Amino acid sequence: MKRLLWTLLVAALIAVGTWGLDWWIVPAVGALTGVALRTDRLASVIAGLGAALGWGGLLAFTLSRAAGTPLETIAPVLRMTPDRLVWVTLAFAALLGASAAALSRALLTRPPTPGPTAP
Amino acid sequence: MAERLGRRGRSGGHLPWGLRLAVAATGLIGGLIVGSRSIGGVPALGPLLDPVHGLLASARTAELAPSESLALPGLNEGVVVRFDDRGVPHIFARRTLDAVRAVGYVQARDRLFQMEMTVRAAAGTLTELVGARALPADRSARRRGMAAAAEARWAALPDTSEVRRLLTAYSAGINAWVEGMPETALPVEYRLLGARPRMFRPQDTFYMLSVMAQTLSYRDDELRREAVEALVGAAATAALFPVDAPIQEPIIPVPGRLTPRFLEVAFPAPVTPTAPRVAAARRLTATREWLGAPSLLSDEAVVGSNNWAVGPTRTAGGQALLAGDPHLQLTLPSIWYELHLVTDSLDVYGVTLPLSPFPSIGFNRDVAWTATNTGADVVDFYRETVDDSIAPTRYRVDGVDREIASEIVAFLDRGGDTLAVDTLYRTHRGPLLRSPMGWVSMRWTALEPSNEFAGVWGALRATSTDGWYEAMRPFRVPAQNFLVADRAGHIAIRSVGRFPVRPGDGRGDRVFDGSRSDSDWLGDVPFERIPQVRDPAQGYLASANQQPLDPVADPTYLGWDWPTPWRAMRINEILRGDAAMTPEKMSAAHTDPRTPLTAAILNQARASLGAHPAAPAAARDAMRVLDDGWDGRFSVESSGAVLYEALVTALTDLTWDEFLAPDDTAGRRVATPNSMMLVRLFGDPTAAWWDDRRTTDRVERRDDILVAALERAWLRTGAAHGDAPANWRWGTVRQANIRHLLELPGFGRESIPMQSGPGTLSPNDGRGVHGASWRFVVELGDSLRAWGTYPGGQSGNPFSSRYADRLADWQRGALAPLQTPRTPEALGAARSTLTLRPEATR
Repeated sequence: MKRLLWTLLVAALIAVGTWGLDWWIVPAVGALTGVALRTDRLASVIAGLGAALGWGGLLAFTLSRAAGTPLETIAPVLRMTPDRLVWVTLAFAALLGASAAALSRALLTRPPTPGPTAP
Repeated sequence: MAERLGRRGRSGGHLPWGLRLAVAATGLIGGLIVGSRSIGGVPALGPLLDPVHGLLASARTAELAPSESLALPGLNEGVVVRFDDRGVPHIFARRTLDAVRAVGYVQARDRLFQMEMTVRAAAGTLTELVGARALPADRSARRRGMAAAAEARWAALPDTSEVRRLLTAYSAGINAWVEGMPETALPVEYRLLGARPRMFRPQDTFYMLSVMAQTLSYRDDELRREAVEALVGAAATAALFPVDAPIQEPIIPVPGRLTPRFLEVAFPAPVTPTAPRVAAARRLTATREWLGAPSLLSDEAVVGSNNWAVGPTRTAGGQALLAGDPHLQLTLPSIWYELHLVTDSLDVYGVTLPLSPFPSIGFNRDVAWTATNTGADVVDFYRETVDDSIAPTRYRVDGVDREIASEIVAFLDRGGDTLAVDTLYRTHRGPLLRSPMGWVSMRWTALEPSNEFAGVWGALRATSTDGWYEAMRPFRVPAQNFLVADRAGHIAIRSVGRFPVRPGDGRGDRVFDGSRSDSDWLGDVPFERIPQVRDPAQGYLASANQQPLDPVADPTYLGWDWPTPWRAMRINEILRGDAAMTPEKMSAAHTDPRTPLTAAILNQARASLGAHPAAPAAARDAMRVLDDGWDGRFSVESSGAVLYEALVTALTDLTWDEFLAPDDTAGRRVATPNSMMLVRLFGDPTAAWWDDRRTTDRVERRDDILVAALERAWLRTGAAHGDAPANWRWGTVRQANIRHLLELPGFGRESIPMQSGPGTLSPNDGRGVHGASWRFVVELGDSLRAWGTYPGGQSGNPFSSRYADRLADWQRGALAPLQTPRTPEALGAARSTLTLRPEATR
């Protein structure tokens, strides 16, 4: 339940952040998630899912406000099908969020360096 | 459990810490790189895929808001813009200056990217927007000197000039949109390119004019002519690419003559292709760029504009009718933008070229006008004697050296880095170019002073045909056959523009000797000699790019190798056969599916087959299908048209083998005489041209070639479309391909079946990238009525419902009623209302 709530929180933060700022908010929120959940080995999964969910929500909102069939219009320009464009968009967000969370968490959970060995 | 999870988390799960760090860092860095940088032509994904600010953002602003009100800097008084159900803005203002400012604003809102592309195409700076792939186009533009000409035109306008004030207000309107547009309204093309729009200047309108001048009047066929002469000889070249069209159906009617006049034509045999001649032709066509460039000598069907008007004595309503049908490159967004301007001094409706505040073609309450291209010869080349074949600094005229002006220019990419440099040279004649035949300088009317917009500005307010032409006197480039009708019932046509006078025999169909000053132009054809007629006795007028004057009536040289007369003949046939013309009939003629060319070809094919008792069965089958299974119409469902087209292609290939480019594996010809020459060649059954040089064991005659063409057409059509003629369909052969300006897949509309064919009013050369760009009909009476459409839509935003909403009507030849309200309230239901107020007003 806690993880679900975290996922939703991350999604909300990423959605609001992307709306107000720009795409790079995704790795930024991902990194913060890694810090906040440094004790949770699934932190990167939560960040990745949250990022995909946040962008998915924004995508749904944008498509609901647009006339016609925007995905069908734009997908051929990027040489992909509309379905694939959606998946690529979500995967891109997930990659940024998850990798940023994993990196920040890894940096904070570095194991102690072994001391010098006695001769 | 929690402890276990915590321990695991702290220890980092199953992967060693170093590996986890490396994987995470690689993923993040990789994501950030592809997110922020363009790699291998793939744009940065971050700004592209961002669902809020990325590509799809443009979809949120694609539609017009029902009502908007905003302050527009520079306005003197308020302006109301009402968009009708077709997305046409009706702009109501008291002052014209305010109206054109509003035009700039709404045009930029709908067509910003297209406007920037146009300016850059003329300036030769497309690379700065789209990258290195535009380098060849930019090099050509710079070498032709179009930017300098545009700047000179602007500089020549006096400060007090009304045109200057109008263009300044117009560009300010564009910039008001660029500066104030919401981020979501940034055109999707800029997002894909990772670019931002530039600010506009008043002289940018002249850059647009340069682009149109290039499209309509630039022609370098004289340079190809030497390659043609090397292959077939000078006499044959002169006969097959003549100054006077061998079938005369002139724009200016010859009183009392209602049928074409056929000139006597001799077909001198081609010279033997000796090794030196082939070597010369090979040298002249050595570069693929040169052979592949557009040329009228090899592309008969590209030009296809038509216009026609009928006087009150031959219309059912007793009022003058005018139809316009300019053919241009088909693009999305469309080349035209439709608008209606209503001010205290102006009430004009028509289509503008984005970057122009005024309609180029349209009507006011009293006068309607439209244009076809004259195709006149307004470009000449001079072979120069230079001091250095690589980097010339001087050229010689009348034995005296003159200095060559030179300038080094750089081509930049989007980041401002230099992609390439080039040296531009100029002589007193104009740009000095390096061609396959050596250094040639160019003189072109489009590069010399003129003030077209002064003419257009005056013509918009004309109240009669005479007044319209008088106002248009300053219009020189590109020379157009302007057809005008007025409310009083007058119809008239005049080839408006500048036509140079050459020395000697006056012809310009060759490269001149640049070492002599007496090669230079002597002046211009005087106004009184320009082709023109008003209210002809026949009661109607038509033009279709054909030779404007029968040389018997006036031998003044205006050009050479004129387009075929088939379209003009067909329009005249329609108008001659109906003394009660209506707007509906005028509209239907736009997509008329017939051409006189088919009868000429089929009659000869039939006769040749009859003279060939041993003709193969395939040839006989072909003729049978053409005779029994085809009504001569190029309708979408037609099967006979497919076979006919194959016949013409085969006939052309088999007849004009002498023009095959040496060593060109694609089998391209250096030039192809047009179908008018082919039809005239039918009259000489033993002409040497009928012999196919590729068959060394026999000498072919006309009938042999016609029968061989029938056989080939039958076999190839069967191979391509199946053996059953019932399955052949013209709509799969001739289609319109309307590509986006950047040729982006998905943003264009391709493979549109069309009722069009070679020699019909709507010709199609097979590529389908040229065609009817704006069809309209106007009835000028007490109540003005008009109909029109173009292939595309008002918006340049591919997500908009107004992007390509007119295509279906255009494809089936339907015209929509055009609304011409005198007041905002009179429009009735509007799609959107934009109220623009002066900045200080709140």
